[in-house]
Amino acid sequence: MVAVVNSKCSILVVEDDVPAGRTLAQLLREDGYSVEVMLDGEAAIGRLAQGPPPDVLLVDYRLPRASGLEVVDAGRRLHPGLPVVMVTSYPEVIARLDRRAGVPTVILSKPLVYADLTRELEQMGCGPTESA
Amino acid sequence: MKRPPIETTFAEMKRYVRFSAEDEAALTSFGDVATPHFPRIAAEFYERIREHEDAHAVFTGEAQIERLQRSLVRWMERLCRGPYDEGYYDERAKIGRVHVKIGLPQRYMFTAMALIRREFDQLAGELPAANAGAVRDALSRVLDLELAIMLETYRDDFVARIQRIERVENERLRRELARSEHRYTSAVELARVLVVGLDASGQIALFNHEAERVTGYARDEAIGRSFVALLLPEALREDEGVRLLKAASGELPVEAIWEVPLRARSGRERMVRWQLAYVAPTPDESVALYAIGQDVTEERALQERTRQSERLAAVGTLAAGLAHEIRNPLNGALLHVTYLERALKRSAGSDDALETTRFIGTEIQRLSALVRDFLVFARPSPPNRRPASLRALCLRAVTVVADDARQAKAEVSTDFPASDVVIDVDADKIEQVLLNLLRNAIDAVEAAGGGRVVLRLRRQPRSALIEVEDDGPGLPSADAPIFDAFYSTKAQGTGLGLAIVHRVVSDHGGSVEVESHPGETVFRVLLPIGSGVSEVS
Repeated sequence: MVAVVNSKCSILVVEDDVPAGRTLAQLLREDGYSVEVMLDGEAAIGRLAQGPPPDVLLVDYRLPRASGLEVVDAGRRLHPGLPVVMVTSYPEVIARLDRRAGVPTVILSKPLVYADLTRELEQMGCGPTESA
Repeated sequence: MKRPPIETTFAEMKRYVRFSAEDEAALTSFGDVATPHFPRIAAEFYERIREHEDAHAVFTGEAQIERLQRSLVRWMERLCRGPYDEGYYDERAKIGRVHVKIGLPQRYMFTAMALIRREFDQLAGELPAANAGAVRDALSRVLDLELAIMLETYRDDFVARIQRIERVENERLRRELARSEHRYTSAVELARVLVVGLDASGQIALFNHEAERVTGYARDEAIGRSFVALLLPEALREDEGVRLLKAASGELPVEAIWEVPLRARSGRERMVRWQLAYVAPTPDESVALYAIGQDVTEERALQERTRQSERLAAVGTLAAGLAHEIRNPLNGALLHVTYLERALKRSAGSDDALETTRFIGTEIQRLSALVRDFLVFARPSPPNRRPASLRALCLRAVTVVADDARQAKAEVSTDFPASDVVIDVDADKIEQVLLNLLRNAIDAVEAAGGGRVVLRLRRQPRSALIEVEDDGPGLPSADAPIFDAFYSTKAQGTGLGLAIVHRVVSDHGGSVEVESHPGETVFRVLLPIGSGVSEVS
């Protein structure tokens, strides 16, 4: 594994499944990403409104208190052009949204294949080693 | 009981009335006396006829009557003089036929002859008494002969008329029969129902055009063959076949409706619903069992599809809810396995342990694929059609499977027409069809250690044809229900790939079929071009 030191790509993970979110964060950190985890939609919106914006928002579709799409809308409103990866058990449903405003940049289906995620992140310019 | 051929009708008549040489002599002597009276008798004869309307009606005018009177005089002269040979008979018969021809009613011959008889009798009375008896006998006989000859001519006419009437009647009946037969034949032949007749032993005796069309057997191939042996699938011969034979022989009452698959000449089975009718055979008609059938194959298939759709809709709703519940734990599990695999690598764990974690990962992904495919299959959405380039879709699909193909040592090539085929389709769904077919083909050649896969695109007058061909080992059997959900020959298959293909293509109003031999398997997808009226509403 490549150890990365400087200017890590930051990811805000919004996932209500605590063990899954923790493991995902751990994998990403080991791969050199800077990761924050939020456990529900409301908390995520609050975080987006306060701190510096993450490089990528990685959000579940179905969340307690505020849905993944609400989080995306809020994030995009606060930070236009914010790259979003949405992870969902309903890719068929999300796919039908594609002509709406506020679409996630990338939709990944659960179960999330970790290698697929990192490939998408790199394509968004959010590689573990390249950010400057 | 033939008469000796030598004796003519006239000779026989003469023998009957005992007409002899003495009679001839007596008539000659009578003639000598009577001849001067003949014109008077002839005149009276016709005077009498004038009194009777039906008799008079046959005359055309006075000149004719005068001619007839002269003929009657000659007639009487010959009556007395003879000779009484065949010429005599012919001459008399000819006169008789004239009467027939002009339509003189028969009764006037007798009444008129009574007049002549009376006149002659009076003249005979004037002869010397020694002669008178013989002359009267001779006159009686010869006049009876005259009547007999005339009756004979009428008889000929009657026979001829009756024969003519019979001929006309027969012709009419024959034509009527032919017409009726033609109608029945047309009804049987033009009807879009199978009409089959079996004799008491179950042999085919009647086989109409629709029966030919549905079974693929020509009439002359079917007639005389056993219905059961020729057309029933083997599995049904014992049970249904025996029952049919018993119905044909009259041993068992027929079932009114009998639905049974028929094995056509091609080997395909067609479902036919029969109505049976038993008629006890007669010496003239061997058919004992009439079977009127309708090909309900398509109807049954449609019903089956509808039933399946309904089942799937219910299952689909359930599945969609369940998908979330399955995918979430799978998500956690897969992330943990990924982490575990990484941890094992880092701590230089055993290869077996690494292999085991990879195996768990693969199984999780397989379960995930099953959920995905099942949702596609069980919750179909109507196709969202837009004009799409089939060439582009094909190229994209080939790109997507490129990695799989490399690993499987499958050489995937494309065969496209010079110009693109653009039709209204749901591009995502057709891509799914292409991917499923390509992946199947790649898996097939992988099983054989590698091979060739061709993706072919063709424009046809009313449709676009997409073929996926591989040189793998082929389908295990021609009857394998490959388009049924959950039928799979692959250890890793979900059994939904071809079911999805079939569903998507059907939703597009198209069709998919397969032709497979070892070394060559071709899946053909036909998609209609144009407004694309969908089969599924």
